Amino acid sequence: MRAASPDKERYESAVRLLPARLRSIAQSLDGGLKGRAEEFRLRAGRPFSIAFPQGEVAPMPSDEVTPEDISELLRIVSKGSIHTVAESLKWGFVTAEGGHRVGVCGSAIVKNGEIAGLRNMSSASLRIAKELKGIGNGIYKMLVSGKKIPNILIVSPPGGGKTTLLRDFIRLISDGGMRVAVADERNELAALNEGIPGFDIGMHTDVIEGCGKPDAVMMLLRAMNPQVIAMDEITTPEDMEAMERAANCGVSLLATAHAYGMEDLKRRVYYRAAEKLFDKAVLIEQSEGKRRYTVRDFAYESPRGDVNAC
Amino acid sequence: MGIKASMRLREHVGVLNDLLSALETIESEICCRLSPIPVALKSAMQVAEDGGGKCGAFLKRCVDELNRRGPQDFRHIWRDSVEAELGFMPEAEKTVINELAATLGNYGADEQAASIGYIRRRLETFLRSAEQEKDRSCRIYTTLGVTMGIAVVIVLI
Repeated sequence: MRAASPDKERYESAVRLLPARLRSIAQSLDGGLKGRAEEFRLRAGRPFSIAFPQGEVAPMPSDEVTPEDISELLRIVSKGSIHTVAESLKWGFVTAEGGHRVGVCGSAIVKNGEIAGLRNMSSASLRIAKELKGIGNGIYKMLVSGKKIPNILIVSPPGGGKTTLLRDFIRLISDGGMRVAVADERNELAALNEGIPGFDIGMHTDVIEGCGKPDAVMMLLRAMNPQVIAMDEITTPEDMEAMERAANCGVSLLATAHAYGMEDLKRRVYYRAAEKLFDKAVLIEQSEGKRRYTVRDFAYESPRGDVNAC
Repeated sequence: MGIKASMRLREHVGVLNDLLSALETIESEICCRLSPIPVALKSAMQVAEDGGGKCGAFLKRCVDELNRRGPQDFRHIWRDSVEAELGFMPEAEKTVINELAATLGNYGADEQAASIGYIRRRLETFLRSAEQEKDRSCRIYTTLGVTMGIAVVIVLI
């Protein structure tokens, strides 16, 4: 019997997180399609659906998701321990074993002007974590020579593949002999399970997970003597400050940002400092289900350096 | 007969003491380390197993069933384990212990700590009653035993 492909294994590990009733629907999907599935979508009162690059499909249109299905999903994902995920649940997501991200929607509980949690869950999305070893090879060879790593920002819209590419970069740089430290706030890059990474992140990589990026960067700088610091999704001015602090310590930076391109990035106030911080931008664009990577010098005006696509 | 009754009462007191210690461990695991419920129960089980009593067996059953059936069945697992390993306890005490089935793992750490604290206070009340009954019964059985002994001696003489 042939071993399952890594994509199918990831699909199966995500399926195990679903409530029993929906698990059987997801498992009935044709084998060839499993490797291409990107998300499971649970919306109360509507059919359970599976998202592919081309769109969503409902394998059993007559079978509706119930609020109890969504509650059970959270129980499984949190291993019956909501208190362990309460902090991230306030922000509407939980990272499950295997690095799969579960986003949830519902009624916000607001106390003293701050979100204290969610109740009456109305929908959830389970994004299937992907590991694509080798997708960063071309860009790595283009950008990295010897021990010199430029500061790189990977830019794409949501769902564009930034995390997957960043993870492969981390692995390549680490296996190339450099000490990489990862501030893995949402446990999506390494998917630590009792301390052991669920993804291949390289031989010389240290990870702090579950900690805000500014604090994680300080801890890593003080304790782990990194040569490269990596973090996913710079979203706040504090994240940018943390990157600046690391750069001032002579550490190379690897990071990602949500944006539809350099113009979109430039419009956001806290990304304006990025031009001084980063040397290279890797832009990910999707067209007809395929991804295209463009490498350029990091400049908000016309690029000064070569523009390479792969 | 008196010895057996005395042993049952001692065991009851022992189990209540062990349960109180176990709940203290579970509360610490949840509040201080944010441990998942299976890990918290396992820690409590390891402490209780040192005492070698029914409480350890109860927690072991919970941990084993959680591994086998998954966390989504926790309420049933907890209640089934109470019935299987702590079935000898009075209904009132089992009802209190079973209240944790709905609480553990379903709320934030602070809410669970409050619930565990409430259950512990109620179990402490049961423990005091059980200790009083044990002491009273021991005195009765001791007196009966001595009286019977004297009666046998008189008859033989």
